[in-house]
Amino acid sequence: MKNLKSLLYLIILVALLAIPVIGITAASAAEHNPESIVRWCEDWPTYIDPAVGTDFSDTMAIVQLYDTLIFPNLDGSVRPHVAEKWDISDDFLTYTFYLRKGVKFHNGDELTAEDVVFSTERLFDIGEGFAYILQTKDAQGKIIAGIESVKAIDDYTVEFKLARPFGPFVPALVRLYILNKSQVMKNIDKSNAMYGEMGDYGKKWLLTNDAGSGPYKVKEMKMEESLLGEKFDDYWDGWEEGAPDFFKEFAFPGEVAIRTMMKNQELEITSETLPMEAYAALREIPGVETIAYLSTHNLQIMLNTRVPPTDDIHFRKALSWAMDYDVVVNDIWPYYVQSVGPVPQTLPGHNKDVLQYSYNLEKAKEEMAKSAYAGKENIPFTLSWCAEVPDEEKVALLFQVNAAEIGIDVEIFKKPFGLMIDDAQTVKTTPNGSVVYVAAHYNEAGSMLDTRYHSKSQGTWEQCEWLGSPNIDTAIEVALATVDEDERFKEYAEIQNTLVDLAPTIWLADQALEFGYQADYLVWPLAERVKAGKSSSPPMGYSFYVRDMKILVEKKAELLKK
Amino acid sequence: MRLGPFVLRRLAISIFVLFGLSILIFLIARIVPGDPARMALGPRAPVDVVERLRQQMHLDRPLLEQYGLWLWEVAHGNLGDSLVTRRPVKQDIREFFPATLELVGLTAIFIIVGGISLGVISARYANTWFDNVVRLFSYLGIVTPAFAWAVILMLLFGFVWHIFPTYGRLTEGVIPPVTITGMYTIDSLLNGRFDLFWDAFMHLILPAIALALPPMSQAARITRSSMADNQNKDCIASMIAYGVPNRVVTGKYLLKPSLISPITVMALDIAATFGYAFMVEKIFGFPGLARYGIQVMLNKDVNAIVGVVMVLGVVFITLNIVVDIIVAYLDPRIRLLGRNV
Amino acid sequence: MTTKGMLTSSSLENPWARTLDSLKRTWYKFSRNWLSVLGLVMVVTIFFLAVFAPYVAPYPQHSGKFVDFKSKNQPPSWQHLMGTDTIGRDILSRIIFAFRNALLMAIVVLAISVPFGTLTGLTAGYYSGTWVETVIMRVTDVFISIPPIILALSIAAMLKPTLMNSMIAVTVSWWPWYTRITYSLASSIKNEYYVQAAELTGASKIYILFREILPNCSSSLLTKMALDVGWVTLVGAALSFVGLGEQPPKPALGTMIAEGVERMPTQWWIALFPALAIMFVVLGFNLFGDGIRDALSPEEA
Repeated sequence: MKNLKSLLYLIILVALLAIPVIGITAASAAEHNPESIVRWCEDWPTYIDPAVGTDFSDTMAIVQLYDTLIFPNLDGSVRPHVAEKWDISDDFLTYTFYLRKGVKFHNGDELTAEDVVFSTERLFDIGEGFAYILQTKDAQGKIIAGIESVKAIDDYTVEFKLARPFGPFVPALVRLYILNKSQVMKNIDKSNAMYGEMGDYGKKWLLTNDAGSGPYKVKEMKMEESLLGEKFDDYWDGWEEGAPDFFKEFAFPGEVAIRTMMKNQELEITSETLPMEAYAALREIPGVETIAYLSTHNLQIMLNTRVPPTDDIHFRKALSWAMDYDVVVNDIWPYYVQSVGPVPQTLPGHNKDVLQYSYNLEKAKEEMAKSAYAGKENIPFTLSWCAEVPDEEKVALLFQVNAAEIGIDVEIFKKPFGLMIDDAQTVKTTPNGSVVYVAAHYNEAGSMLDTRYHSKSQGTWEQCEWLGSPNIDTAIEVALATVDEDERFKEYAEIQNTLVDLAPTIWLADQALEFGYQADYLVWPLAERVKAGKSSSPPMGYSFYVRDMKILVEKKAELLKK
Repeated sequence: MRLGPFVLRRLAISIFVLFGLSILIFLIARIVPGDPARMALGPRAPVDVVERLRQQMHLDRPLLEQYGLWLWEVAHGNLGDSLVTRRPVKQDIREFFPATLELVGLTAIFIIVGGISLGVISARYANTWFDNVVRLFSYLGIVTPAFAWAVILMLLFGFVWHIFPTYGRLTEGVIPPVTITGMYTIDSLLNGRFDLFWDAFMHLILPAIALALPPMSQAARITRSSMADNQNKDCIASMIAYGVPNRVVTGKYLLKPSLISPITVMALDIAATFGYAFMVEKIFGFPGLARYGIQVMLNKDVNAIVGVVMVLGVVFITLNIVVDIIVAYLDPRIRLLGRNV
Repeated sequence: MTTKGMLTSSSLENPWARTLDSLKRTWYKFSRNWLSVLGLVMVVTIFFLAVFAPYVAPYPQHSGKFVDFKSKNQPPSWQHLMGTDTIGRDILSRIIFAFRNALLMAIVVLAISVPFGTLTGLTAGYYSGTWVETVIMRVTDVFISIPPIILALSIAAMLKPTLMNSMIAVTVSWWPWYTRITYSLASSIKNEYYVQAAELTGASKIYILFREILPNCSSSLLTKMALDVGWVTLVGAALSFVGLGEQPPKPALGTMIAEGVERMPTQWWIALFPALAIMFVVLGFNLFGDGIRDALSPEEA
């Protein structure tokens, strides 16, 4: 006790001294910076299980870890991949795929037809992820479209039977990822009987592990943080000189951290959600360039067509004419372009001749006068936007101001995406308007139309309109079943016209993605195409296909020395 | 020392309180509108699969039964699965808790060391310029919330002067130490990696200071006034009159009784730090339990909310017991008579 | 009790003079510390700004439905003293309007939790040693077994994000602290001679609780209330920081900080000024609360 006071003095002295000392030595932190790595910070991938994951960050990871039967080219076409070739029956109901021999999974097993069958069945049994693209069930659980059955003819031949003809079936197969059956079966949690005798179908294990044959394998998966992938040396298609040894995908660290990391070569590709000023600052870093290109996503305000006041078609049209699109594409996102109808302009099958709404208060008031709400003031309207996309708030606020001009009182709700999904499940809980980005899941207008306006997607966040139109359902089904491409595209075009006339949605803008990247030492095929002025819109996730990238190690070292 | 029965009694009350807390938070989590099973599996999962999950989560049972079953699971060390991360909540907590514990630990050190020493010196040199500076400083400290400090500190020490890192637990690209406790600073020391220790430590400083400043100032103020109160007591005056050295008076006879109220307040504040940590963790991109807690709350992740709140409840209650014991040690009246002053 | 004061000479003729007299005395004690006066000035300023927001804010329309992307992210200037945010709105105006909801929240929360907490605390304190005390205090223990901010967050997260619901959430986590403080005061006051005397003369329980015990708790309660206005504001800001509370476009200090943090450090003013505003509120009410404590404390009369 006697020494207590002196002890206190000592502690304070040390504390005071420590501050400057800490400051001086701060810079000497340890570093681990492998030479050949591609890193980006879209987000950490929540689900790398291909039967579960669907969003941008998930697909960015899944495409590295798993192989598919066919592979999407950057120009939107497809080429053989694990399947060397395929036959299509005359009635367009049976597709037979002939697999390549010697494709190895990461654990050394050979990929066979049995694995394809297993992966397909697993996808449908779990029913999350991209299952809905490849199979549609009615309310009774009967398969009405897509894959009806799949079977292995022999080790290298697999046969899909479709419920009805499905025009874009082959492009849609980019979402059928092949898992190693025996490895998944070994890691099934039997104590959890979610899927009967399949236990948990390996879901828990596949949260942090992969069972794929893709060019990269999981090295470390840290929940809520990052995924580190490592090159799979025995990849069946071989490796080119300079391909990255690692890739890393991690959570958005904040604008400033991104800039610092780019400067220190701790990051190769930035996220696409930065504010304009940040890109300008990035361009000033030596070796860093930015690219912007139109994606297959569009931003829209979905209007619930079953609840007042948005159940009135004239009311919806009035809104479509009242929105100031120019502000969206000029002031909020300079690289975006105003949408032309429901389909992003980059998708094959887009109809560029549909009516494009514009900011026209005269017309808005005209439509308003025709609606049941003519002459009314302060008409209540609820609008949700997604908390995870901060910039959507600007759209919500803009919409609120615009709508006020025609006498509508908009109440805005910021919702985590999980809750938007929850709200979308019933007509009553779905707000009048929902600000949402939607992406095409495979490269055709049909993908967008099917997931957005077919009744089967009612109750999901991808259709907050509750359109429920039997005519449109039939039209979409007929179009998708049309095998001839020209014919199919004509039918798509017609559906787009009908939809624009119904105005169930305010189609705001086609999204442009802007990335900063280390142009001096990273060869990024997508960026090369964009810089060459060619359009490029691979399916979600494939713009980051790491195997086709290259790291110029010498250039990197040289740049670091400067 | 009759500390034994005293502690036992406190423990018994705590267990009761924990039960109450579990009922409270369980009820809160169950009034969520919407179907947690559907939210967990997403909109497109087949109806029968959702129904099975609902059964597995016992959501089809009456509330009382749900609680009973939940309690049974907890007794077996199972907190259920998180709907967001789809992993056992236990595993999530095990991963994120150490980070927060490390942060709060350093914060606590700042609070205790800074608070007491400033308070003691301030009281010792009462009404001098030093005292006035400390008082002004502590006033500012108290009224400025941790997240405001976070913003200010980040601007000053992260951006204006590049002294401290402002994001995460380690510099990007640095591979964390082999997990032993989950606390990077301790693990790196156990691994003998001083460079890693330094890196992790540097990442803790700004958030810890931001969290520590308000309670530290509070502690300094209370220590000072408590010292000042005791300084005026007759026993101290007579001791000084008898010629007991000033150092001894301050160190032995003054400090001990004066520490009782600051310690109580500091303990409450340290526990509350777990609550305010979420904003600071968010600002500094620090992957801790508080940030996780907010995320699961916003996503109405029922099992995880209950899990996180219960863990924090246990921490809070444990801290309170520890404080009671310390106070009992410092104050013989409580220890010997079981009386509360 | 009321007869006591009658004995002073000046009050005999005029009750107003008596009130004035005691007010003067209170003000004397309050104003002895210039910090308390500063606190009062700050509190008055905040109330003034909040009440007259539409007249004092330079751009009142910026607190509602308004966008102006052309003038977004402008640094502080004579035109916009605290700069503009990412939507092009004047930050100073939004802060002034945010005071309104902050104060409203504090007042509503305290208006509910103080009477409720006091009532339960009084009852438990007066009936200490009986089952009434056990029930009330154990329930209170449960509510304060986690920091109020965490409880408020969990409740608010379950409800729709509105100002009303965040008030409910904060209230639910706030009352136990009043129960606790009143309880400890009441359980010691009830042993005072004057209470025992009242009991002996057969005064009703209601009379004893409200006329004997409560007035003697009031100075501690008033002080705590004054301080709590600041703290409630702080918790309210914490809730709106994560998006629970007042929805945009209506301004809330926490929301403004959260938005600003994303823009650090390039547009530092978006986060810094709302943070300083919260500091101002908490500091003001703290100084004011300390002043009240000084003014009402009996021993230093």
